[in-house]
Amino acid sequence: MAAVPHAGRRMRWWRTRRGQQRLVGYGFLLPDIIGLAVFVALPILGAFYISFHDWSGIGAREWIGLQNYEDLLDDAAFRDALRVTAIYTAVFVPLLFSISLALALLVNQGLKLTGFFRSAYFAPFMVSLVVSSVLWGFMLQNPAGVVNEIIGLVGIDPQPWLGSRRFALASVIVVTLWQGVGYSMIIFLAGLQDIPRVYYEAATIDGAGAWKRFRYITLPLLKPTSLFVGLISFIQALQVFDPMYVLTQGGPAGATTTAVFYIYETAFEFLQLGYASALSIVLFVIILVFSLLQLRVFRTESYE
Amino acid sequence: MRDTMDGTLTRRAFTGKALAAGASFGALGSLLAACGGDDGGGGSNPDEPVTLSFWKFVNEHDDRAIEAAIKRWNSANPKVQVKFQTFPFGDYTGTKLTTAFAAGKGPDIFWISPGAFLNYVNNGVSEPVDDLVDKSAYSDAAVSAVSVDGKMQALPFEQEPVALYYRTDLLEQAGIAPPKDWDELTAAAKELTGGKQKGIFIEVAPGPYQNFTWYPFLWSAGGEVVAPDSKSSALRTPAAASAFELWGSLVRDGYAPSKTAETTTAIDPLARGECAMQVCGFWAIAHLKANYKGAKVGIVPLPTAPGGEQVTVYGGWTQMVNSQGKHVEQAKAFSRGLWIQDDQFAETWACRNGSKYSPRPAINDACADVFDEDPYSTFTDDILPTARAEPRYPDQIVKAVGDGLQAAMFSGASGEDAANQAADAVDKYLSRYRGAPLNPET
Amino acid sequence: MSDVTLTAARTRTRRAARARRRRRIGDRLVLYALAAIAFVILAGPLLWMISSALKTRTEVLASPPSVLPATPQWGNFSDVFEQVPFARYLLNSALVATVVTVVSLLFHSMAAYSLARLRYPGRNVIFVAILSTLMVPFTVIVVPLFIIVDWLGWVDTYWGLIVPMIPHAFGIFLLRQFYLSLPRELEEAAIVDGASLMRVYWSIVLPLSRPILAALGIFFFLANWNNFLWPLIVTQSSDLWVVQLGIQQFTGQRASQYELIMAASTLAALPTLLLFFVLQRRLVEGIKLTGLKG
Repeated sequence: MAAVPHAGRRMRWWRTRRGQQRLVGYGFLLPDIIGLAVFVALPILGAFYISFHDWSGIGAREWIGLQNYEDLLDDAAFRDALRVTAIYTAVFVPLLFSISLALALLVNQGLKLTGFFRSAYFAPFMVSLVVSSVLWGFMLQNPAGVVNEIIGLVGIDPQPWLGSRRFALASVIVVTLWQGVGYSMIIFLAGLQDIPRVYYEAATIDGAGAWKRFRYITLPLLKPTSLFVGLISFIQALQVFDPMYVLTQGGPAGATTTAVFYIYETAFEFLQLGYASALSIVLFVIILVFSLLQLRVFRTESYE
Repeated sequence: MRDTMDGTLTRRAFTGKALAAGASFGALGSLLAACGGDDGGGGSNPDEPVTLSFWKFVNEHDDRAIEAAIKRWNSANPKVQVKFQTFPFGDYTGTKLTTAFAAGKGPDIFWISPGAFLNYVNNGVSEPVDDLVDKSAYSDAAVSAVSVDGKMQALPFEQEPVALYYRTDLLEQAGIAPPKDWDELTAAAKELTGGKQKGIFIEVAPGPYQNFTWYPFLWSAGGEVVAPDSKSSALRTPAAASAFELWGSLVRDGYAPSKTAETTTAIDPLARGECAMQVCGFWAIAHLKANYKGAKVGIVPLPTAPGGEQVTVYGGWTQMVNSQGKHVEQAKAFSRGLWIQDDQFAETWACRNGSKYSPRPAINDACADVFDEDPYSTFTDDILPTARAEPRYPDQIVKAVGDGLQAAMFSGASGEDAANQAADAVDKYLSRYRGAPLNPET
Repeated sequence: MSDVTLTAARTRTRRAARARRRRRIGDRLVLYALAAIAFVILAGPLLWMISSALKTRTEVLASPPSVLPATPQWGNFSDVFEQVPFARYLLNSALVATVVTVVSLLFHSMAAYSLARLRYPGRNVIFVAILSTLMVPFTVIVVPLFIIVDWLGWVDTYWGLIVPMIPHAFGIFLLRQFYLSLPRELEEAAIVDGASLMRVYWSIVLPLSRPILAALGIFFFLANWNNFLWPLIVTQSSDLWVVQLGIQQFTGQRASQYELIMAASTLAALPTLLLFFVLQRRLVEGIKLTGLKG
C-alpha cells in the first residue's frame, strides 16, 4: 500500500491507491476531455441536430424530422460513393501498412546514410496533401507527364491516369500512399525502438534466421503500434477527400467520388447542410462499427 | 512551505499555481485577442464611421484595380469605409461564404456567380438594387438574368462571351478553314489530332465551367435544359442528345483530351501548341497579349449545329448586397459608387485593366478604341450580339447535366442515354424545388 | 588430429566464412537497392517540385516536361514574398503550429497515461468515445464549430486559430498505444519506492516517451503547418492567414501561377524539414533497458 496512515486521522479517500488512480486518472484526462467536448463533441452533436432539419446554411432552418434519413435510403449516389470509399480503403490500408513497415525495417538496418534515407522517405509528408495532389496532377498528365514518359522508356503506352474511370481511383491511391507512408514509417520506427535488442540477440544465438526473428519477436511486440497504424489509416481512408477535390473533382463519371466528397458536394455546392449532416452521421456509424470490430479482434492490453 | 507532501501537491500550492496559471493565461489571452482582426465598428449611431466588408475571390491582376477604386472611395467617404478581402477561388462560394452566412457573419457586399445566385435569392439574402440603376442603360439580357419578380437582385458588371480560338498556323498547315458547323468541327479536330497535339480542347472536368462552355452547343441545336416554365427538364429531345453526343464523341474518339493539367479557362495550351483549337472566353485575349505576344491565334464564333443558329453564352459575376447585413444602405451606396458613379472604374474594368464587356452599352462605346480593334472586333461585332447570359441553374442542375456529359465522355453512353439520364436527374430536382424561376425573366 | 584433416577443416571453415560474407554483402546490396528505389519514388517528385519552383510558368506546364529549368528563375522566390505577405503567413503558421504542438503534447500524454496505466470506472468507454471523435469528417463539423467559435468571440483571432486545433484524438490514441507497450518494471519499481502517480508520470514515463513525443510533435506541427480549411473559415482578414492559404492565393480564377505555387510550397516545406532534421535523432533513441533488473 502506498498510502501511509496518519495516526489518529481517517485516511482521505484520495490518498488510497484506488483514490489516487481515480484522481489522477480523471484529472489527467480533464484538459483533453474539455477540449474535445467543446470543439469536437459539441459540433458533432450540432451536426446531429442539423441532420433533422432542412438548412441551406444561408437561410433559415426548418425542422423535418427523419426526412433526411428516409431520403438517404433511396440515394443511389450515396451508395455509389460508399462503394468507391470501400474499394479505396480496402486497397489503401494494407498497402500503407506493409510499405511503411517495410520502410521502417529497411531504415532500421543500420545502412550507411540511414539518416538521409529516413529524411527522404519522410519528406513527402511535409508537403500538404493539396500541394502533393497538384504535383502528381502534373506528373500524371497524359500524354506527356513524367510518369508516362518514364513508362514510355520501357515501351508501355501512355495511359490516361486521371482521365479514365479505370485508373483514376488507382492514381489517387498512389498519391495518398506516397504522401502517407513516410509518417507511418516513423511510427513503426518508434515502435521498433522499444523492442529490446537482447531479444534479438538471444534469438540469433538460438539460431533463428531473419524471417523467424521478424515473425516471432518483431511482429508480436509491434502489436500496439500495428493496431494504431492499421486503425488510424482505416479511419482516415474512409474519410479521404483532399486528393479527389484537387485532382479529379470526383470524376471522371463519379469514379473518385468518395463518401466525404459526396458529403462536401451536398453541403457546400448544393447547400443542403441538413442532408449532408445526416449522411455524415451514417458514415460515422459505419466507421464506428468497423473500428470497434477491429479493436475487438486485435485487442491488446499491455503485454507481459 | 513545501509544495508537496508525499509527492502530491498540497491543496494550497495547487490553487496557488492554478491562479497564477490562470492570470498569465488571461494576460496572454487579452494580448492575443488584441492581435486579432478588426471587428468593424459602427453601432446604431449614424454618425459613427461604418466599416463594410467586401468579399470576392482572388484574382491578382483585377484586384489591383479594385483596390485602387476602393482607396478612392475610402478617402472620399470617411464615414463609410470599405474593407476588401479576397479568398482562394475554389473555396470562395463553397465553404467560405456558406460558413460565414451560416453563423450570421456574412459580408456586406460580395460577388456571386450565376450558379450560386438563386440559392442566395431563394434564402432571402439578396437586397434588391433596382433603385441604384437606370435599367435602360443596361442591356436587357443582363437585367433579366438577375431579375426575380421584376426586381434586380444583384448588380451585373461584366460580360465575357465564349468563342472558338484556333491556331492560324496549324490550321493553315493542314489546309483547313476554321470550322463553321459541327461536322466541320469534328472533321477538323480529327485532322488536327496527332502526336502530342489534340485537335480541340474542351472542358472535361465536371463543374460549372464545363456546363457553361457546353450550353451554346445545346442552344445552337435548339435544345434547352429547363422548360420555359422552369418546372421540368427539356433535355429529352434529339437536339439535346446531339449536343451530348458531340462532346462525348470528341473525347471518346480522342480528338479532345480526357484530362487537362489546368482548367481550359486558361488559353495557354493553345498558345503552347498542345491543341489546335480551344473553346475559351473573352478574357483570353488579354492573357494572350500579356504572355504570348507572337502567338498566331484566330477567333471565330462557336460552330453551329446542323441547321442551327449561331449562339453563344456570356459569363460574369454579379455584385450582391447582403440584406441581412448591418449597414444595407451604406452597402448599396458603395455598390452604386463603385460601378455607376465612378465611371473611371467601370471603364477600367471593361477595357483598361483587362477585357470584359460591360452590361452598359455606353461603357462599351467608351471603350471603342479597344473593342473595335482586332481581335476584339470579332467579339464585338459577331459574337457578343448572339450571346445569352449564363444560366442561373443551381448546382444540382449543373451536376445533373455534368453527369450526363461525363457519361457520354467516359462511360460510353450515347448522346440520347446521356440526355435522358440528365433529364431524369433534373426532373427529380425540380419536382421538389421551391424557389425563384430558373430561367431569366423576360 | 592429423595435419591433413586440420587443414581440410580450416579450409572448410574459411570457405563457409567467405560464403557467409558474400551472402551478407549480397543482402546488403539488395537492401541498398531497395533503399535507392524507395528514394526515387518518394523523394523524386519533391525534387521535381523544387525544379519546377525554378522554372517559368510555360516551362512548368510544358508537355513533355523538362527535368531542369532552362535558366533557374530565382526570382520566383522573391515574387512569392512580393505578391502576397508570405513572410507574415510563415510567422503566423509558426506561431500557431508551435503553440498547438507544445500544448497538445502535454495534454495528450497526460490523457494517454491515464488511459493506459490507471484504472477507474468507465475507462474503456471514455477511450472509445475519444476515438470516435475521429470518425466524423471535418467537412461536417466545420459549420457548427464555426458557430461555437463565433459564440466564444474568437472569429478572426489567434485564439480561434489555435485552441480548437489542440484537442485531437489521434495523439491520445498513439500515445496510449505506446504506453501500453512500455514494460512496467520501471514504473512499478518507483511506486514501490513510494513515488506518487504524478511523479511517476513526470519523472519516468515522460522521459521514456521521447521517441514517440518526437514523432507526434512532428505530426502535430506538420498538420497545423499545412492546415488549410479551418484557417480559411475562422479568419476574415488576411493578417491572420497561414502558409497554405497564402499558397492558394496563387491559384486564380482563370489561370494559376503554378511556378509560384511550387516555389511557395518549397519555402513552406523548409522549416518543417529543418524541424525533422533536428528531431529525428530523438526518434530512434532506443530505450535503454539493459540497466533494468528482471
